[in-house]
Amino acid sequence: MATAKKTAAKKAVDGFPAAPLAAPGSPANYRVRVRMYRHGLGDCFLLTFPRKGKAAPLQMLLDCGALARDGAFMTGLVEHIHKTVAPKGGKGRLDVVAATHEHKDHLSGFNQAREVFNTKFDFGAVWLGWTENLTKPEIEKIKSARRKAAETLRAALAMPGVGPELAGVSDLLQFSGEEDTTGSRTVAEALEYLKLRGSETGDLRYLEPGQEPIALDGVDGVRVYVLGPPKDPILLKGSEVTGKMKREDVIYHLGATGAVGMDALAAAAGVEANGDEERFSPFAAEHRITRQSPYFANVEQFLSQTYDDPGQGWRQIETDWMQAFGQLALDLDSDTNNTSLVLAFEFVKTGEVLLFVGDAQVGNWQSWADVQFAVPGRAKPLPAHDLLNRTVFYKVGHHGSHNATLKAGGLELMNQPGLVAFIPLDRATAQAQRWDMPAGPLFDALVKKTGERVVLSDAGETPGEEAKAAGVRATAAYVDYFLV
Amino acid sequence: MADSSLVHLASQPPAPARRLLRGFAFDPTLATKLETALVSEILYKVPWEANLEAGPRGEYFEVVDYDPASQCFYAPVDLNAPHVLAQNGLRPSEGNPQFHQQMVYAVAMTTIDRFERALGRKAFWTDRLVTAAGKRAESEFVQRLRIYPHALRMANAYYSRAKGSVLFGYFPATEDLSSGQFPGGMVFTCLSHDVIAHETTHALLDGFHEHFLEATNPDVLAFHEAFADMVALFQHFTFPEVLRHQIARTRGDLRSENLLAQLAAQVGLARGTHGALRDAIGRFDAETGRWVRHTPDPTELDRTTQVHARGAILVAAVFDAFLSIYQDRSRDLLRLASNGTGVLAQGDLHPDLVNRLAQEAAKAAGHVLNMCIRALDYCPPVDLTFGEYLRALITADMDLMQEDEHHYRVAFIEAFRRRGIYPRDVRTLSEDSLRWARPGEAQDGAPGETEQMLAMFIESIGLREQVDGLRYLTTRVEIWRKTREIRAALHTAIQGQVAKAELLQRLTGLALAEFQAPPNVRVRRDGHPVFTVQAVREARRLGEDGRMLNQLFITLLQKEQVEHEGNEHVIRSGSTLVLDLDTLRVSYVIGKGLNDQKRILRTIAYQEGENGTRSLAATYLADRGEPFAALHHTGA
Repeated sequence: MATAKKTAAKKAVDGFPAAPLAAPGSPANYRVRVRMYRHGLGDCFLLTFPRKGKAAPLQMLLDCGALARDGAFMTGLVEHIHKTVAPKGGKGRLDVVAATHEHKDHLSGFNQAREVFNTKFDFGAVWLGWTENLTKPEIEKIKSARRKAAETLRAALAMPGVGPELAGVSDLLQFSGEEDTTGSRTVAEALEYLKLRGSETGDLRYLEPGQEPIALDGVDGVRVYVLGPPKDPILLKGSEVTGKMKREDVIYHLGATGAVGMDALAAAAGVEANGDEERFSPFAAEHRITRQSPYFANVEQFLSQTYDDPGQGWRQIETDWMQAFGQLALDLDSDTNNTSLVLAFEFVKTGEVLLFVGDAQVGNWQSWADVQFAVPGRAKPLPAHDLLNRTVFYKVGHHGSHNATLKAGGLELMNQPGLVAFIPLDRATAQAQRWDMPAGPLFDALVKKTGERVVLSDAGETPGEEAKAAGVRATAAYVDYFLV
Repeated sequence: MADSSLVHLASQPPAPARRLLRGFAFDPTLATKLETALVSEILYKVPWEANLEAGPRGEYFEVVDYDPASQCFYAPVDLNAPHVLAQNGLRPSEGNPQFHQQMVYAVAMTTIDRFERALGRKAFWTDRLVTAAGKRAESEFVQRLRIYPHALRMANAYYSRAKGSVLFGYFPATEDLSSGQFPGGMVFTCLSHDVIAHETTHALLDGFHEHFLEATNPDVLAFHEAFADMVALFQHFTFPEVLRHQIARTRGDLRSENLLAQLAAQVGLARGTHGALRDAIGRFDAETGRWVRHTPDPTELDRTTQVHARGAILVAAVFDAFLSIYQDRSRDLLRLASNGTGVLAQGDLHPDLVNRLAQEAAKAAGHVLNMCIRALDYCPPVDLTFGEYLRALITADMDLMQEDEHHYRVAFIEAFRRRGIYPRDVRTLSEDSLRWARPGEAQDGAPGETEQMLAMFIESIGLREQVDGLRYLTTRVEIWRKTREIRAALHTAIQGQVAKAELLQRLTGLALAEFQAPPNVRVRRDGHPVFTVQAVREARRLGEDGRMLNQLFITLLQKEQVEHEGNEHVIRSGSTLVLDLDTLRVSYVIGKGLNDQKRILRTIAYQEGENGTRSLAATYLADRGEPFAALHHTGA
């Protein structure tokens, strides 16, 4: 493929690779540097906006997580961030720390390298999506439904005789995993930590789509727009939005399974259902004939001609019902992805836009059609789609999966000739799980749209010539994009 | 000493034609409302199966009640037990698994009976493909569709071709009190007439056209859903008590909200959707909290890609045609009952009028459903579009009813037009241009040459005799075997006669003659291109003019490998030949040829586009081989 030539297979790294603080060939002057770390399947971006005069640049950390990296590796990564931010030593300052959504591949670093964050960094503002504000009861309700779903799924995986229907569920569960590779902290705790740091500095913000654009302290001519997570509960839910999902309280349910359906599944999986398992059995106990039952002899003859007939073994349904768990796992994953904080950075003078979508899926993308911003000096409100139109840098959603980049009302709107796309993705990890990342058709569309300026964080690939010409520089540890 | 084993035939009662079984009219919800309690239960009159075993296990179905999530079986019901026979089956009860088995059997048998009566021949399930090690895949006869009434713990039910089964789920109703359902109460999809009829129809349609599960354009899967819904809907009109009740309630105006036009009310409500799962004439508006009628919008089809939503447009079109027909048929009754004004006086309708209106509605619904089922014979075997289905409907009806006395065809054309459903390549929307074309003459041949050659061909392979052999067989397995013989004989005949193969090749656009196949079609070592005679179906139907139609439908299929922008694609082409065995003529060739470049590009573009809109499951879980499982999760 033209965008990324394979380099000779390197030896697997067990620690974060050594790399200079600035990539060779970096321009001396730039308006922003976007640094994507090459740490496996996961997002970690450092945005550097130079300030006027001798003032230190504004540093913004956007997510810091990996799906499958140990604590030592992630500590190495965060140490590298520290050296970049504070080249002369001492405490580094992260003017803004933003987390897009509650998934391990975006947050694990805040747990794994907690020590470094505690001792070597001062935080400025902490930005989170409005869906993380647990002081609101309705949001707490969503989160507790999710916890229950995850618990149910874990119980289901522990059931005896688990079938192929559950293959993939355990992989999916990693995203909302209980433990990080190093310790016992949950992904939710990483968010709690960020909230704590934010309230310590007195600048913890829950961002809402369409709110007034945010100015960056000391950086002239840059406005930050918030596009998502959507306020519309239906769009918030949808990885596939159908008219049928239009019901008032859809937000409290998990996908199509529903709260009670979850209880029933939980009961089947052997999770304690408040001592109420009997309620989820379809019939009274007297009707049930198990293979151990004394009445089994009554049905044995019938079954030997039907269900137990070896010639008709292909019709048995022992594990088909378990696909409900697969659906639940998908619902859980996509619901969380859709709470992604979506940010657009606009350079006012030139109109250029950098777009970071987290792992936003279809519903989140669709909601932007109705988002607009009151901008000082503009008679009419600015529609969010106008920002997409002016996008020159796009952080591809959900590691390049097919439904995290909308076609119409998404990629098709991005028409800047110099468009560059970054995909934080480690091919080997995705392949090992047999995940369709990057999705073929989407990748092809991106290559076409960007004129081959698509860059993967995969350590085995180097940016192509077209990307280099557009200001992309790479080392073993990160890839930089410069807007000069 | 007299021999007591001797049967005294004169005193034996004749076998009954029908078995009467009690069941829910729609689903258990009607029984709990005062307004509808009286009509909540009906008698299903299913064909009498002499050899019905416990299960029930008969000629077409076997109900196996295994509940894997609860790890138990429920004892099979014996419908021939005297106590059961004496009271028309078990009393409807949600808490009795044996009644559930009776209910699925009753509705599934009703559905298949409807199907067989419309087609005038036996119905078959899809063959099972068995591949023994190192051998070519062989198809195997599947006598019974297996039904699992309690297979899943979820709000889902689906037909699984891979297991030759229909799996029904059960789930607790939403705890949302405003749904009006008993919160957390158990809801069984196997107690919903609509769900059972819908899934049985999926299985029947799959047995009829097995490639209608391949989404080569946005209509194919949507048609599968729509057709299953249509059968379920029109079966409502065969419940006389409910029909009369609803006609009385709506004062004869079936365009207003009514139970007959709604599908799966309980399943929909229990999932918290505030209305039936699907409604052919309206919907529940979440914003206003009211039921609103659909207004047909010709642009809607273009904007709708989701399978159920797209299917709903076809259902709405067919239902709309039905409503027009019903109105047309009942207009005189309304005038008679209103002193010639056509405007009914206020208050309840006279019971006699209700009865007569109900008769007209039942008659019209029966006709429309027959048309819809018979049209299947006239569909191309692959890549069906809604527009082509309209052509199939019109053609099938024109063959039987030369005069369109009650304007059925006009009603269909109008209803389809109002929803923007058009065939791709007709010049006008008149009956005549919608009717499939007769096979054309060759440009360079003598007049009548094509027709003559075809007649000779049909005669030379003894097609009449072959089909006659089919007619006097009684069991399905015998018919299946004989049909397979005919298919093989046809295949050999086409291959063996070069001139005939060339002629058929010209008509169907497939590659049939040796040494002439394009490079992307697989060719055997002896030079014969690979194709299959997929199906041979016969139909004898009585036309309105008293003439018996004596037809044979043959489908030919062929695959080709196409490369497009570096990707390999397998494209299926095929033709349905409609033969008139009386006149030895090929009446129609309905097909999708190999050389239709536009279609092939359209298919590839569609399939590539589909990759971009599939659900998240596609990223993580790859393909699970149960197309309806995922499809029905959001739409049942």
